[in-house]
Formats: sequence, structure tokens, C-alpha cells
Amino acid sequence: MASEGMQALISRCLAGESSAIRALVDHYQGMVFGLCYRLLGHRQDAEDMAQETFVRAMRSLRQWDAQRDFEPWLLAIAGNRCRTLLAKRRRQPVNVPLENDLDGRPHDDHAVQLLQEEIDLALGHLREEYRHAFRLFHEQELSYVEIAAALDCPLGTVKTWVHRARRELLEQLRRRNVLETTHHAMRDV
Amino acid sequence: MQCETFEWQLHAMLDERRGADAALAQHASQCPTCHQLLADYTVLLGAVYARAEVAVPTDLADRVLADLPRLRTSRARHVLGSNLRLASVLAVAASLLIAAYLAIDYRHEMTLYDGLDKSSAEAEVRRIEALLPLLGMLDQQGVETVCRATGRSMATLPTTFPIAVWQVTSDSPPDPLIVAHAGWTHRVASGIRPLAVSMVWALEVLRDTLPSKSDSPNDTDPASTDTS
Repeated sequence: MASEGMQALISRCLAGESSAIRALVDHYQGMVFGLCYRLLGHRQDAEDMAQETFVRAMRSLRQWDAQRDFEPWLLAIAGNRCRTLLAKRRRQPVNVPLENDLDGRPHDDHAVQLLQEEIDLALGHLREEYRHAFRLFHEQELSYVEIAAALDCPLGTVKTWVHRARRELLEQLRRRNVLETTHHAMRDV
Repeated sequence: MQCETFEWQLHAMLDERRGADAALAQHASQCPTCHQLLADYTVLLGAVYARAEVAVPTDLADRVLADLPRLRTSRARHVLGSNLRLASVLAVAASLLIAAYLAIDYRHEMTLYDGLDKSSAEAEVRRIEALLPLLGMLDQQGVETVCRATGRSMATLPTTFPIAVWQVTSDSPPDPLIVAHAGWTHRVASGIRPLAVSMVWALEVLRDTLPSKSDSPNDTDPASTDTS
């Protein structure tokens, strides 16, 4: 159930208060944008879908059940928007390079950079649902409940996807001897 | 602890975002394979968590608010339309109640004819109708006299004229059947017009306030699977 403060904020949003709507967006934009980015892998698309998510949420705010948490409902909308775009991409394949923000990574640490690149490569080889579930859990740090809402699937299924993603990533990295190399680099340090 | 149990416990630890418990740590210290597994997962997830945060767009709230005024206008029309629709529905309901009352009342009035055979009822109707020509026999002064005598207005006089005439022209109390008939026709006449007007108005409001599909907010929950 949503907290009293959240219910009060939502009531103000329903009344059309711009300041309340802005506060709601500011509060959840990190979570929503992060989810969209992890699902779509493209910044501009993620921005568009995040915007559309909030607009739809404001439009349908009366349909939110105050007895339930607000975040899963909002994330479910974001997940739906992203899945719609992904389905559209599949019908009209366009080369959309998966972006990875390398800003902030220690470029001078070759071993770490190599590991990051290998992880990106391994993620690309995962099944889409495994990759989404893994990134939302470990990168976006959403709970299983939130991921299940966003991906519109049972909680147990999300857990299975995350577990399989971990195993497959590990197997791929081991096959490419990346982890062993990293361990050696770390021991040298 | 067996190695299969170790991996299962390891996943549970990662799911719950907690550190290794004593049993897990002890097995890892005694089993090289599981120790390597723990180490590899630590490196993998350490690298994942170290991935740079994605910067959130700074103007997202502005963009959302820019999109919303168009929706607020649509919602205002929807709310206004909803109120008018509610009023029109209530008006139709009230009209139907009035019609039901009149129908019930008429049925009650009609019970006054119960017990009469067809020929007797027809005779009573003819007697009532015989009084109606008196309307044409009264001049303006006569009509005014009737109005003053009966306390009725000119507007209601035509429907109640038989009663009025009876009261003026007869010392005996008016026949109950005449009273019933006149009363019913009066009520129907005075009830039908506002009933018809209210129903026409209600139907017009319903027609005018039905929102177009492009204006109405999405009636389905967007949190349910929606690929539109």
C-alpha cells in the first residue's frame, strides 16, 4: 500500500497541481528512465519512453489502486511502453547500437575495461528476457516484485531468468578466459 | 553442505543482496570448486555494479508537463461531460418515475371502473363526454364564473371542465367517475408535457456530451499489457 505522503502527492496530481506532478516525476524519473534505458539500450528512445510513461501515468492516475504500491504500477507502464517499442523494432529492424555509458570508467585500467567490454558482449548473447531481468536486478537494482511488474511476468519467472542469466554470463566469461585474466591482474595489483 | 546446495544458497544470497553466511563461507573455504565459483561471481557482479550510472535527462519533468495541458483540457471536458451525463441520466430516471407514477395512478383511477360491465362503462363515458359540449356553450363570462366558483385557473379549466361545470350546474356532488376521469386527464396533461420536455432535453445532453474516441482518456489500465 502506498504511503500516506505518496497518496497525498497523487491526490494533488489528480487535482492538476503542476508542482505535484513535477515532484512525482522528479522522484521516479531515475527509476523509470533507468528501466527504459536498460530495456532499450538507446538513450533517446529511453528518454521518449520515460516521458510517455509519465504522461500515460498522469492520464490514468485515477485507475491506480491506492491499496497497492505505486512503483510497480508505474514500472509496469514503463515496461509496456518499452515492450511496444521493442516489438516495433523487431517488425522494422533498424540498426540500433546498444549504448554503454563508458563515462566514469577508469579507462587506464585495461583489465577492468576489458572485463566491462566482455560483460557487454556476453549480455548481448543472452536471451532478451534474461538480459532485461539481469540488468534490472543488478544494474537498476530493482526488486523482483518491481521487475515482475515491469516485465509483466510472474515473480518466479523473473527469478529463474536472473539465475540463468548469471550462470550463462559466468560460463561465457569463463569460456573466454576473461575471469582468470582478471584474477591475475587483480593479484598483480 | 553439498556443492549443489552451495550454488543454490549463493543465488539466494545474491537475490537477497546480503553477504555470505557462515555455512556458505565455511564450504567455500573447504571446496576449491565452490571457492572459485564464489570468486567468479564476485568479480562478475562487482564489474556490473561498477558500470557507470546513466545520467537522467534534466528536462523530463518539463517535457511531461508540456504534454499534459492538452490532456487536462480533454479531462475537463470529460469531467464536464460526465456531470452533464449524470444530470441527464437523473432526468431520464425522474421522468420514468413520473411516468410510472402516472401509470400507477391511472391504473388506480381505472379501478373505479372495476365492477362495471362494458355497457355500463360505456354509458358512464358517454355521460362524461356529454358534459364536454358545455364548454362551447359558455361565453367568456361564463367561463370566468366557473373559474371563480371552482377556484381553478383558465389554463387548467379545459381538462377539469366537466367537474367545474358539474359543480356550477348541479347541487349534488360530482359523480366519482367524473372526478376520477377529470383528475386523471388533468394530471396526465399536466404531467406529460414536462415529462416529454425533460426526456428530450436528457437525450440531447446525452448525445452532445458523449466524448469522441480521440478525446476520451484511455479507459483501459495502461499498467496492463498494452501494445497499442
